[in-house]
Amino acid sequence: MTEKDLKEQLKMAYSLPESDSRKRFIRAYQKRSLQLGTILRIELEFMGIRSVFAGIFLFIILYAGYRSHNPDFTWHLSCVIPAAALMPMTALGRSERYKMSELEAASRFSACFVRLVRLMILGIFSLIVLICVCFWQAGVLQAGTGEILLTIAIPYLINVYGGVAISRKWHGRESIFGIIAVCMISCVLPAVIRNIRLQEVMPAAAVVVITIAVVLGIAKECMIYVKESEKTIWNLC
Amino acid sequence: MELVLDRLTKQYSNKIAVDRVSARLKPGVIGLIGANGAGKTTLMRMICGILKPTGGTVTFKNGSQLDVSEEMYRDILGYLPQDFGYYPDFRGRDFLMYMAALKGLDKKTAKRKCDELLKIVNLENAADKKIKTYSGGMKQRLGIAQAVLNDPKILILDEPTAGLDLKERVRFRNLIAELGKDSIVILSTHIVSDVEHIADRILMMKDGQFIYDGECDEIGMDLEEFYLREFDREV
Repeated sequence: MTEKDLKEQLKMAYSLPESDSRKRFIRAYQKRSLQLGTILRIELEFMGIRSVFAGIFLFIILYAGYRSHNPDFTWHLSCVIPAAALMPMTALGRSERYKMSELEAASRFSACFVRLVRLMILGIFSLIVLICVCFWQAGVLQAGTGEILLTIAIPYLINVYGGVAISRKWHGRESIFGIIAVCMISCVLPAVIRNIRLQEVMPAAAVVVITIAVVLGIAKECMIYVKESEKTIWNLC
Repeated sequence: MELVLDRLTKQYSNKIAVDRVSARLKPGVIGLIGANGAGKTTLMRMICGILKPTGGTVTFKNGSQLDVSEEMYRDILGYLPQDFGYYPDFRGRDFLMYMAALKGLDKKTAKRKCDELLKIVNLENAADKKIKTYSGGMKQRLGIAQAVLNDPKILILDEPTAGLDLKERVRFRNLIAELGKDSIVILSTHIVSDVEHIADRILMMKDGQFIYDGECDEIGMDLEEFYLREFDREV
């Protein structure tokens, strides 16, 4: 054996093998999505009492709005609903907050999957609320599409974006307070927009562009949030 | 059935926590002992697949089937972390049912297994109490119960006896010895007496490397004495 061969063999013996591939992870990840229904049911069951209270609160607000004949009062109520609807977002980071992430990550469905399911639950719930509020504004308050987008949809979507971004970056109490603060801001934002009459100044195209930009921002944040768990997850061979 | 660790390495920015560790692990109780900061927890996390190694592989070989998918691997894995929490609204039974669901057990099997395990870990009477009212030892026993919910083929226990009283330790040892008959049980501890009577094989870890890997019978002396001697020798 020549010195060169010996060096090559030594290099091979001491070099570290490559960590497992990303493709393998994604393949396994897609396969797991077949059991989505099971885990969705469980997550809904364990999502916490907060979501139930938020639902009751929303119902009371909607009922009060329905009974009221004052358009201003109804309009303000419609601004509060989105913020209240997004309060359960504080449950997004509960695994890290309560030190359950390690146990969840080692289980069959993994942390990545749990995160995806939580986002799905909140996403579907938020979308239903948003559509209801938009129809309510259009039907009861006779608001135009531009006004609805600017005063309801955009603050609501900003709220969702902020909620996911905060859950991703902060854990523990910081994330709860951060999400509540974003909810409060999004409550006030419609009134500010209305008072400065932004809906009259801003062209419709700009409103649509902003809406699309925020939706894309949310999608990106959600993807990063779900994929971030991959950082700690290793694919076995 | 075999779990193969091949040059498993974890490097943080300025520290190598686990340094090219290799081993072939067969069914039985494997005692992983080492001082605090030796790299035991990092190694266990990598074996569980919740920490990405800098290099190296873990391969599970099950009979003729050479490779298993990630989901299959998780399905046969039981893990008790050193420091774990619980959702505040959970009762003991809720916690086990939640973990059973994440492990993919159907409701009927999960319920049966939960009842069975609550009895084994002596938490039958406290099953419907909130976990926040539990003592440290009770929480630890609940953690042990969740780790064995899915009848794991690979059971990884990180400092499982922390907080347990003497009586519970004995119960736990018996349970582990039973599980070790047809599973790979890796038990990490810095308390030698926890493993000396039940471990078939001892892995001693220091500064991220195995400084001893052998069967208990090969040692031929008191394990604690051997442990101290090995460490002194390294120093």
